[in-house]
Parts: sequence; C-alpha cells; structure tokens
Amino acid sequence: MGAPSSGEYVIRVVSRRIVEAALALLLLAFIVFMSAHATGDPVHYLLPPEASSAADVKRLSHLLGLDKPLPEQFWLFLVNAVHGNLGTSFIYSRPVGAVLWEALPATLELALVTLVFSILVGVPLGVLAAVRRGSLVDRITMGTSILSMAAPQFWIGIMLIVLFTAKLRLLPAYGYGSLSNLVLPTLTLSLTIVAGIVRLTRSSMLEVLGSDFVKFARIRGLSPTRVIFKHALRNALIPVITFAGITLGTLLNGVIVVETVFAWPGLGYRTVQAAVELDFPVLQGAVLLDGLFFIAASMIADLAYYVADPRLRDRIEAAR
Amino acid sequence: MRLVFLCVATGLAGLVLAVSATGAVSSSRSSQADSSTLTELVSTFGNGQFLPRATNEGPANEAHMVFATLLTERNGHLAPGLASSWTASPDAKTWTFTMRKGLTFQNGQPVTAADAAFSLLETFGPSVLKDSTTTGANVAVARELLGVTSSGNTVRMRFKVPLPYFGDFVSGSLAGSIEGAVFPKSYFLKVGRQKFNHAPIGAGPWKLIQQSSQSMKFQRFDGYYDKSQLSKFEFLKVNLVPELATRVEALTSGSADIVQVDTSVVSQVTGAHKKLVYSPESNYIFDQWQSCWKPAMLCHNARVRQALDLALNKKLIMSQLYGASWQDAGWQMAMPGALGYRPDLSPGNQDIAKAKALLAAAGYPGGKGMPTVTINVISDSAAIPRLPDFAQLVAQEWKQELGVNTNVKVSDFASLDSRQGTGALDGSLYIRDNQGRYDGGSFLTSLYSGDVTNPNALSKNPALTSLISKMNAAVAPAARATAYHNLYWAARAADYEMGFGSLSNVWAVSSRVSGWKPLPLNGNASGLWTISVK
Repeated sequence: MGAPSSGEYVIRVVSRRIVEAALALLLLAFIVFMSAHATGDPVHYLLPPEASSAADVKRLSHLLGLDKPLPEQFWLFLVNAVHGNLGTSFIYSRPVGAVLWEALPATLELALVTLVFSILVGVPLGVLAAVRRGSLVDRITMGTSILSMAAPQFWIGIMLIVLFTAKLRLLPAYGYGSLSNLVLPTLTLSLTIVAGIVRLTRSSMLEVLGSDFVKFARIRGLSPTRVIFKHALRNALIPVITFAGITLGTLLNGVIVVETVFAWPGLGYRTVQAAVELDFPVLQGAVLLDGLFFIAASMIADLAYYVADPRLRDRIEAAR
Repeated sequence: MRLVFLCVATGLAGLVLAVSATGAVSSSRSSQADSSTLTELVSTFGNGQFLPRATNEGPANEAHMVFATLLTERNGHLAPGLASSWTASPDAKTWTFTMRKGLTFQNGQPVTAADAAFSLLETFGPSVLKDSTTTGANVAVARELLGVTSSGNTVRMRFKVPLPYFGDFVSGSLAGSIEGAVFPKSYFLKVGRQKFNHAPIGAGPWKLIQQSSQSMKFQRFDGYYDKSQLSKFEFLKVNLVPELATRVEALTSGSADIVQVDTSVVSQVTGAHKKLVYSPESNYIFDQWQSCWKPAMLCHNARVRQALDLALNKKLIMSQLYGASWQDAGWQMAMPGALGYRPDLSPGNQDIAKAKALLAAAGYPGGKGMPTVTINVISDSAAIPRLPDFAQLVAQEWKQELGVNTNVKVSDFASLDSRQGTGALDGSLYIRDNQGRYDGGSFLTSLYSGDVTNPNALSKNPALTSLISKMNAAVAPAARATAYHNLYWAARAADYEMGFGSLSNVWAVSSRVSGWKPLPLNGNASGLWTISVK
C-alpha cells in the first residue's frame, strides 16, 4: 500500500474531519446543554405572575419536557438531533430547524459577500503595502488598518448609518432583501476583516519577497508583476487562507452587533435572543449549527491549502 | 500594478454607488411620496404569534390590529365589540354574548356566533391545557370551563366558578392579550393552526397581507364594525429594528414615520425637528419586596418597608429620569384609566422625619445594625430605560437619608425572573417593568391572595387576602370599582410595593404624521385612526 493519491488525500481529510466533527459536536452539545440549564429555569420566565402557581409550573414543565432528569433530557435531545429534530422553540412554538433555517440565508449572504469583498480589497492592499514598504501608501494602509481594528463595530455601524442614511440619504439604515441593504453591514464587518487581511498579507509578502527563490526569479529577468503575483503571492497566501477560514467560521455564526444595528435577520441575533430568553432548544440548535460551520470552514481551509500550496501536492506525489 | 488597483477600486466604488442609488432612492420615495402608506419601526415582534391562545410571552402586538374581540374597552369601561351586548349571570358563572349582524371577516366570510364559539373554545377550551404556548389567564379559565355553545346569534360560556372579570379577558384590554379574538372557523380548520399563524384572518381594522421575520404589511379593512376607528391611510408597514439608534436615524432620513423610542433620545429627536408622541399609562416600574411573608426576611417588618418608601423623593427621581413621559398619578397598576383608580392613589410624598422614626422603631436607628438591602434590577427593559440608574438613585437616597446600605445587582430579565421562581431573590427588592392594564384583578390575586406556591406572591396578610376575595366576588361594575380601590388602598399602605406613578411609551414621528392620540393603558401604536397623513 503506497501513499495516497490526490483524490485519496481529499477523501482522507474529509473523513477524518467528519469523525472529529462528530466528537466535537457531542462535546459542544453537552457544554451548551449544561450551561444553558445553569442560567435559569425558563418555566418561571415564561409564566406570567397571575399564572405561576405550583400547578402551573408543573404543567408547563411537563409540556416542555423540563421535568425529566437532566441526563434523560440530554439523551432525548441527542437522539432527536441525530434524526434531524432539534426540538421546538419555547418562545416561538415552531420547530427549531425552521427558526434557524429562516435565519440561514441572511447569514450566508452576509458572510460570503463580506469575506469575498474583504479578500478582494485586503489582499491587493496588503501586496501594495509590502511592495511599497516604507512609502506613504504603506504608512496610510497600516495606520488605517490599526484604526479599523480598534474601532468597535457598533460604533462603525452607527457612524456609517449617520453618514450614508441620515446625512447623504444614499443607503437604507436597516432591512434585508435588496443589494442596497447589504452595503452598510458588509462595510461595517469588512473594515475589521480587511485590516487583518492587509496586515497578514503584507507581513507574509515581505517574508516571501526576501526569500531566495524570489531573488532568483528576479535575476532570471521575470517581470515584477509576474514575480509578485505568480510566484510570491501564492506562497504568501497560506496564512491568509488560515485567517479567511477562521473568519468564515465566525461570520457564519452570525454577527450579533451588526445584525442588531442593521436589523439583519441572521443567526447571531437569533442565538443571542435564545440565550437571553432561555429558549434552550433554539440555543442548543444554534450552537450546534455554529460548531458545524466552524468545522466546515476549517475543512475548506485545509482543502484550500492543498490547492494553493504545491509543496503539499509534491510531498504526496513524492511519497508514492 | 497601479492600473490593476485603480480598476479594482473604481469598480468597487461604482458598484456601491449604483446599488445605493437604486436602493435608497426607491426606499425613500416609497415612504415620502405615498400618502396611503405609513412605516412604523418597533423593537420587537414579541413571540410573533397570531394565535390568540399563544399567551406565552404575549402574542404579537400587531395581532391586536388583525383581530377584533368580543368586547372592547372604552374610557375605562367594557364596551361592545363584535358582540353588540353581553350579560353575566348574578353568580358570574355564565356569560352570554349577542353577536352583531352583517359583519364579515377579512376574507369575506360572515362573522357568526358559531365562529365566536369556535374561537372561544380554541382559546379557552380543554386543549389549551396540553399546549405549552398557553401560559396566561386562558389556562386558568380552561380549568374552570364547563362548555361553550352557540345558538342563533348568541354564544354562551359556562364556568364551574364565578369569573366576574371574564369580560375583561375577552376585551383585548389585558396587557398583550387578544384572548377574545374571533376568527373564521372554516378557514382555521382548513389551513390548520400553524398556517393560520402565518396567514391570520380576523375581523379587526387591519388585514395582514405580507409577513417575514423582519416586517409585516397591513391593509386597512373597511369592513371593520367601528367605522370611527378606521385609519385615514390604507397601508401600514411595521418593521423590526432592534437597535434604538438605527430607528432614530431611519426617522431622521425619512425612511420611517412612526418609531418606537424612549426618553434617552428625546433631545436627539427634537434636535432633528421631529415630534414626540406619548402613549399614556403604558407602563410602570414594578417594584416588589420578595417573600416578605417569611419571618426571617428584613422586609417582613412593615416599619422597615414603610420607612424605606417614605425616605424617597419619588417626584425628583422620576422627573429627572423620565421627564415628560412620567405621570405623578396612580399607584402601581392603579393608573388613572384603570378600574379602581381614584386620585388618592398616588406615589406619595417624601417624609424623612417619619421614615427615620419608623426605622428607629423597627430597631435600626440611623440604619445602625440593619443588614444590607439588596436591589435586583433588570437591565433590558424595552419599555422603561435606565432602570439600573433608577435603582442606584433609590440606593443613594436610602444611604443619604437613613444610613441604610444597599447592594444593587443588575441582570437581564429572563435570568432574574427565573431566579425569582426558585426563591433566589427572597428578601430583596426586585425592580422590573410591567404594562398598564384596565383590570388588574388577576394580577392582584397572584400578588395578594396568600397563595405562596406562586413565587410572585407578596404577602400572606389576611387583611389583604380578604380584600382579594371581596374583589373577586364583586360582579356589578360599581361594586367592582369600589372593591378594587379598597384593595389598592390597603396594598399601598402595606408597602410591599412602593409605587412610582405611571410611565408613557414614547414614539417619535415624522412631519407626515399629525394629530395622533394613542390610547391610554395601551403601549402599542394604538389609536391609528386619529392620525392625519400629510
């Protein structure tokens, strides 16, 4: 039996991730189940004062399944979850799957657009800053990135609304459904992400541009553009891929601040509301979904390494 | 390289401007040019349910627009709704409603007594006992229901026990409740409960024509029985925008007409040349000493409670924090528009000398030897802002005037409410918000009937328990008003709640909106028919 082929490598990565995912999700489910129950009893929260007698508490606890021992509740949750049933929301009285599914398109849309936009803007700026190291462009880029990372997203979002909605009347302050609704939330999120990508790309490029193979490429007479984009950038992108993978996972979990400010109907707002309102089924379902997203993002990043880094492919081929 | 970056930047900027020009112009035009449409922004849709039985966390405020109820409330009295008249038997065990004739639902079907009977059974019948969405008064009614029948134009409900305030249950006047809503039986059975929730049909003044998780659009229903309450504009869009700052900026930019705000943005709104409108008697600060009936609690001593109450300059605290949204009238749920209110029910005046004397008589002269008092206060009231500040001011006054040390603990409502249920707040002063309502009977019963299995019970005081029984036995309106007043008066004297007057919900409106007069005891955007649109 020799080393795996490229296709086998991909299958192996995916298979290993699935096993790791199952274990991680089981642990995550346990942690969120226990911590959710530790925050309080939703029955007392759901019952109004005029209907909170012992009989009322007993009735509602039984209907919600909260009168069962905790291990039994957790086991039932796991069994149902495996069959695709995440339970019923205590607050909305709808299947958890439907509640989360409703929020998923908005989250996916914002996450993907933000990430693509951030990469399209951040990578070129990072390359520019590296190539023009020490210049005014470099200093402005680095300074702006620090400010972007330091400013709170809530403040950025509100300031963008004040400028583009209240003053200039160019963009809507809230809502979902049209392209114009996407602009301000994307800008708010991507300011921080672009700053991270710029700095990462710049430092990675500087390292690669100083390496021997780049010097050799220059000596061979290759054009600067070819040296930078065909040879240097590809190697410099590895840490950026890592950052993008983590960022994608974070974005897919929903971003509560931006969703609240712009009334964006995503998963972040739903998850936080579920935590605040002790809506255990939605909270558990949302956190499991978040875990899945992180695992998926991590898997995508691993596969992206394989595509981007020829040394990885060469190592596999050499071992055959 | 420069060319590449120039192209990317130009492309992106062009995309942003093109998209924004398309989106923003159309959205602002839709609000400003269309005089038949108003846009309202709210902070929450509640549980978003249009099922009258779904009293868990209260049905969507907007459900009040879709449904008409059997009875209604006018100027502090029960009044005909879809029922043109009603009677209660002398023992209040049988309620009979006579339906109006010639009315239709929003889908054109006629409103009949059979529909009313079906609606009442769906809302109060035995099936609600197995429904986790029902946690309100309808559960208690379901336990006592003997039957619902209809014959000709009348609907009759019979109960095992007297229910003198059942009329209020079906009047839509209880906070957040639409339990008296009538909907078409055949349509409900055809689409099923879940689909009805997303496409409700009622006989109210507004028909829901579009719904998503973030917005609802309503069209005026001209078949509503009370033509004087039909709005002058045809469409109302209600959008969910959780963040207050965003709502205010949307109003400023002209993309919203009615916006839910609070007193923290009054100067910002007026500075933008927008107007403020108040929904009077919407809420009150619900302060409650917890489990003082337990002898070990500091608040078990009436002198301690009374001393702490008298030490507070309530007018100063409330006027400074809440300005024009505060009314120096009413005590807790006994607001000026509520059943049982009389002008003698007020927050009361500060009397430091008396407070000190009471505290000394209680064994704590100058606060010496007195355990630290704990105040648990919620941080996330959508209706009443700055409750933690309020609690801090109360603590400061106690320290300054009486030498009493206080520990203020801030937490979210769900957490505190669930801990209240476990007794974790015993002995502390629990401060939260609560909605105003016309008839506080069921609420008062939970607080003062002496049933201490209910964690909300404030006392086992036999005098108050006796007044509760008298209140629940009074059937005739005049007798009820007197019984309610007597209870409020005695509860005020007992000081398990201190009372700080009433508060209005605050709305900011654009220049398109004029003449709006929201109804009292209703925190929603009520009284829309009074609005003239420019």
